[in-house]
Amino acid sequence: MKCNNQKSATSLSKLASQSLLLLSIVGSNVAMAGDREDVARMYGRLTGTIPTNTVLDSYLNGSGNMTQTPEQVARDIIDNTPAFYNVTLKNFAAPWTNEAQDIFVPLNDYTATVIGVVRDDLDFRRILWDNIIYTGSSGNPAADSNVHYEQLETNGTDLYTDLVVNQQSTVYGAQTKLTANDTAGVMTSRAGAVAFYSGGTNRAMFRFTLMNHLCTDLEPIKDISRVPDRVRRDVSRSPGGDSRIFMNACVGCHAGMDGMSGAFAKYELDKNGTADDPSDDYLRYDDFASNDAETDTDKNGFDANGIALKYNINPNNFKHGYVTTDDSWINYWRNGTNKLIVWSNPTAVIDPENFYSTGNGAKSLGQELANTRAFATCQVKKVFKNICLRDPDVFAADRAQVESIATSHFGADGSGGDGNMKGVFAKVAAFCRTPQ
Amino acid sequence: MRTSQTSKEFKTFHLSIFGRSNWVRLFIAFGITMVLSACGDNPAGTAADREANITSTNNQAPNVGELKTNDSRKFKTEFYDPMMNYCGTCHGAGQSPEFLAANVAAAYSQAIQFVNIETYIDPVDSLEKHRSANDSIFLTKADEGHNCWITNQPTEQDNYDACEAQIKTYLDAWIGGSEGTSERDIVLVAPPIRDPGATRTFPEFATNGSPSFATSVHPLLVANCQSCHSETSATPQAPFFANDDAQTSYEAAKSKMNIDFELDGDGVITEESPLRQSRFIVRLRDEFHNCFSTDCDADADAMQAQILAFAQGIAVQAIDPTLIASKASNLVEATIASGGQRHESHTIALWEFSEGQGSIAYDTSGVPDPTNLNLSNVEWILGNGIDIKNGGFAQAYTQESRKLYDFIRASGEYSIEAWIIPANVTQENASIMSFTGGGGFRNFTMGQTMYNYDFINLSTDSDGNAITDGTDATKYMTDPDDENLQAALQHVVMTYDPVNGRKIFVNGVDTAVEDATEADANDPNVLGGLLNDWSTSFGLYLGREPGNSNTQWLGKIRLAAVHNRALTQEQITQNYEVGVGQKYFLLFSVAERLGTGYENSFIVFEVQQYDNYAYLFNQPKFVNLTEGWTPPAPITIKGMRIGVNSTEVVQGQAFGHMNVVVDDTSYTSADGQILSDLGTIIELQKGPAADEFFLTFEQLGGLTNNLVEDDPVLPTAPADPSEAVSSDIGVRTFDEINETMSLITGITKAVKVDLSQSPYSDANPVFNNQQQLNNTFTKYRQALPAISNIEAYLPSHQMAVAQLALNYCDVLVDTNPGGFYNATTLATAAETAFDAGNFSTNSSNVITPIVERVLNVNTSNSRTLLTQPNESVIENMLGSNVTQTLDAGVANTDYTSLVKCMTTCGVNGVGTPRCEIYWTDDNTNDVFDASEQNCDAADVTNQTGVARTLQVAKAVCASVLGSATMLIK
Repeated sequence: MKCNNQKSATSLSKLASQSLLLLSIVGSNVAMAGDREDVARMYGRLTGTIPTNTVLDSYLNGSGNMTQTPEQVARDIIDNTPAFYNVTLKNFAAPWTNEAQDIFVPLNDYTATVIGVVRDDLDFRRILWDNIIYTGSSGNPAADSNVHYEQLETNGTDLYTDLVVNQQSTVYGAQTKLTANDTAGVMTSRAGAVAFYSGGTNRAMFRFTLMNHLCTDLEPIKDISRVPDRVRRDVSRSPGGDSRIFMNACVGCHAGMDGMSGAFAKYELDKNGTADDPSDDYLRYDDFASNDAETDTDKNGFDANGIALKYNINPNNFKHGYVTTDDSWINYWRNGTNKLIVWSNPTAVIDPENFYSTGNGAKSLGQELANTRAFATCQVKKVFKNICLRDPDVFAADRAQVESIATSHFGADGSGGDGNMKGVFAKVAAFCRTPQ
Repeated sequence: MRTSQTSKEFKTFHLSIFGRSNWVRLFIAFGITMVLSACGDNPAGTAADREANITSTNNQAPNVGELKTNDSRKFKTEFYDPMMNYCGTCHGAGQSPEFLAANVAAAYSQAIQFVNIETYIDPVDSLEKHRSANDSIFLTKADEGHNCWITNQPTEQDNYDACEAQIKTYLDAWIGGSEGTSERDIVLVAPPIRDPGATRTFPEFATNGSPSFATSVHPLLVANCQSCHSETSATPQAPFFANDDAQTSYEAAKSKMNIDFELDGDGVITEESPLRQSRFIVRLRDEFHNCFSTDCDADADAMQAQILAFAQGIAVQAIDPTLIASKASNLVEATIASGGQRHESHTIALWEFSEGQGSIAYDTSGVPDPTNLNLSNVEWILGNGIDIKNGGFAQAYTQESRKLYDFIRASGEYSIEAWIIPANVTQENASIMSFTGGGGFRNFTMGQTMYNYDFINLSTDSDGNAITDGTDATKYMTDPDDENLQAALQHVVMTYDPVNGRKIFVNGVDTAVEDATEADANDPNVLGGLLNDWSTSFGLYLGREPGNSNTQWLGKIRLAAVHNRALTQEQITQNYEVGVGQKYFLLFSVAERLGTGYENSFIVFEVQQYDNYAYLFNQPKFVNLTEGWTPPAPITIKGMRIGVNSTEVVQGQAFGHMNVVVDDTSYTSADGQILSDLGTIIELQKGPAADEFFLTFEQLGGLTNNLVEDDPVLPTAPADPSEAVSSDIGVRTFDEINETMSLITGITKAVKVDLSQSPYSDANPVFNNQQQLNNTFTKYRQALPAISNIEAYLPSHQMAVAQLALNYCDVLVDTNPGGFYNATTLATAAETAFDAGNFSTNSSNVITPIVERVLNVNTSNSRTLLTQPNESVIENMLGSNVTQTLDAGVANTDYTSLVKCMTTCGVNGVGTPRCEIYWTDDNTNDVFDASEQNCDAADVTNQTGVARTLQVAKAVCASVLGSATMLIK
């Protein structure tokens, strides 16, 4: 046999590569499955790793059949496998913590909090509103640094055992001025702040929270028929001199978004260091302590009402627009086409005639967003994609399964159930334990 | 006639059309009219306060010399023109006094004799201001009923008072402050009270309707108007309603066709029918504008027939009777809040772009000689302005631009001002307004570079040395970080004077960038920059410079002006607050809905044409035009929406959630009550002359009609595809691969480390096993798969997997934790371990442990995963002593196992056949000869000893660990 492409292949690594390719062909065979295969697949998808025979055997009886229901087996795997937390959950959440949706970002407080909330069987909705943060059991988490979390990763710390729950107001409060009422889960985490309160107008926090936790960008939920009385002054009503653009496109998002993103009006990212280096930035909540004028004479980034100056920038783009004077929010998307999001926040204040909801601050908005059917199904869909490796919206059976699981853990309207994400993972893994 | 102004006899009202909260300054009640102030920020004192501050009254002529240019101009615009409508028949046609004579200068000299001017100090801002005294002959004659033109008031005296008040408005507009802030009173007049009519609305597309525009009017336009009113014409004239594309034509033609009309009982189109007032028809029948034939009437009839047919094909839609609607109004009936409060004392050229058609934009400053602009490839926009598109510009010829040179050279300072809407924030070195001869030299230029305004000025120091040479190199620009320029309507003023240098004000705010040429007391070369080098041969260009398409600026200009003074901050603020474009007060009667006691109640909007496609509805206010009226009971107003042409519009209902109570604590007779500080834009449908507006309410007083929205409909679920659309299996991702390799080998998991820190940062690092693993993982982490999609798995991913697998296996074999491998095998030289007698045993010893771990082969209960490949096949591939065949039926698919390949020379010696992958090419011919196929001494050396055995173990390990058996999940 003579192959020119093999003539110079002399290195060990190339030798190995040859075999790798050969093995790849063999390894891609998918044979018929049984319970042992089902358990192996659930284990592999949930933890990202290969189970030992001991582990597989522990879920099977002498006949090779599972000793518990598939969901119970999946739940047991979740409860007893650190890789689920160190690998699967970490990379599940990492893209949510930055604008580029990069999965390779270092561990941070946003990711750690998601891992911790799942590990401790907490209601997952709390990530959007609670005074909660997970840190390493030792070390010094800081409001203006991610070093604590990067060290956990560098040290190979087992997040499954090491993470401990804390309060944001306790861990960060001294520097951020966050009190318990000002916290809103990951929306006031350091990583979330660095990613979504940086520059701009804080609308990014709203948009990315929608994308990450309600599984929709703004474009699909545009509704130009909403009352635009909260659209801020920085939005040109006639971009380039053509108001049709505003009337048919811009307002579709801004009417709803500007109403709700008012909740973040008192948050600002303090550029602690150089402009291009976010490594020591920190979230700043106005504490009213040093404001002496609307014009921010002390240059702390807030006006006399405690509103971040960015909320009222470019006022001449449309000077008849909404002027932000507080951190109230209003949800106009409770009506119109976005009623399909199914807003069910039990703490919301509902206008008795127009049926929109209102509140103040990020915490109550977090509850508004978390207590929706869209939030519930979004969590299930994200898990489904992660475990089943396919789009859950394509097949009717998959869609039905998503709805069923969402209902069982978040209630029919998104405000019930236990919000337990381990349960969601277990149910999804059980559903996808066999090939489609 | 009231000859003295007291608080008892005159109602004082304070409205400002420009401020957010200050509405009326001075209100004089007579019947149902209201006077609005058009400018000023200062909350005025009471009328009594003003009276007390009058410092001189009666019979004191103004300082005519001081006011000369400005005052006579203001006389023309504020008094002469409007009065001509009422008094021109006599006093403009020979009747003495000829204060409306055809010669405006003569008229001015007459009129000035009859004006008594009060000068007073405003108690609020301490500025000196003027107003007409109440015993001006114009006013006393009106009060006597001298040819009063108002006849609809309850009594004759009321008519006379109304005429007097109207004249006083004109007088005060003329006389009131030509410097600094000033006030202007506007009479709010109740419009005709009528219900919103059933209307036709233009269908969305030119092809809609029967007949459609495309099949009725459009063919006529194309056949007869295309030689001018098409973009492709040799002499293109906007609007382009004769474009071959019906939809393009339709958009331009809408405002030229009146489709709302009623035929009389006999189906006859009356002379007064709005249909006959369609611009297309008027131009033919009455103005004989390029008739199709020699018979303009016949051409007009033909056009009318087509518009009639098109209109009758559109259904008439009536307003929903369940709505709580106000009465209707439109811009034709609205009270005009005309401008005129701009600071114009030093204006030497002004373009308001209000012509709306034609190819010339006239200089309306009134300062001779006019610097008129010739338009080329620009389009007029509604609400005053021109749209400069690619290739478009406006140009004043050199001779007509000479005025600018003369005035500015004389003063040595100037300002250029514009209201513009840049089309984008990407254009660079684009010329908005330039006094230039081309070739990169200018007297001045207002330009755009992305988010910045550019200002170029040609000036020298007192010795004639150039400080700025009028080229791009010496341009002055706003701070890029501030992003002052936005693609929105902006007011920009650029000022130059020798002391302060160049300054740029955007939306009334000094951008405060220091001009490098600014006067410096320590630098005599800079002090007193002069305009000596200005050229008389330059012309004014808007949109681009001559002969240089690279300077093309894209956007809209709604007003432009040149002043021969550097305007002060106060003057710039004044002009900014006046705004641009025509403003109206639109009054919507709600009296009938509210019932007895609420007569003359209106909701008033400040309305203006916002651009070609929308109106701005701003700051609604509840007013009652009856003097002294206050709400007899609180009026709740909720959910106010704006309707256009019998239908509530979908978008822009910013007052839809309004919830306000008008009561006697908030409502004042003087100020009314502001319902909202917000403004919104409402779509333009038929054009400002034809659109009819009305308001609807969810609650108005005791009437309620809550808006109930239908629940949205769930989208229909898609049908299942016939087969799976994505793979059922996927690949492990980066961390999963690392974790899996660690678990399989039992080696401590690699972690991401900081490669900038020691030991990784060292030039020649000496790593221990774990550090080497960390180093590899950190370097290759992002080269490993980021997602599980197997279809996105690339060769580069496999290379990274192989690198990591080799590293794990390196550590595994070297350390052999927990006796993973048979220690004896690893300690035996390769030529012995893999000779014929020991091959089988030792081959298995390096293969089986890793394969069974990866494949989950459970030898104790004979259970294996059927989803993994057969163990023996893999073991044979790796370590069979005989040639393997991938597929027995296909030639050239046989190969030697990995272990055999790596050890054959060591076992068999020099001259025996090498494994085929070790064949080496000596480039002597094109076939592998014996010397190339057989082992040499070096081969034997390489393939002998314990070291080779370890290499074999590592190679086998990496082959398995880096394979699909590990990777697939």
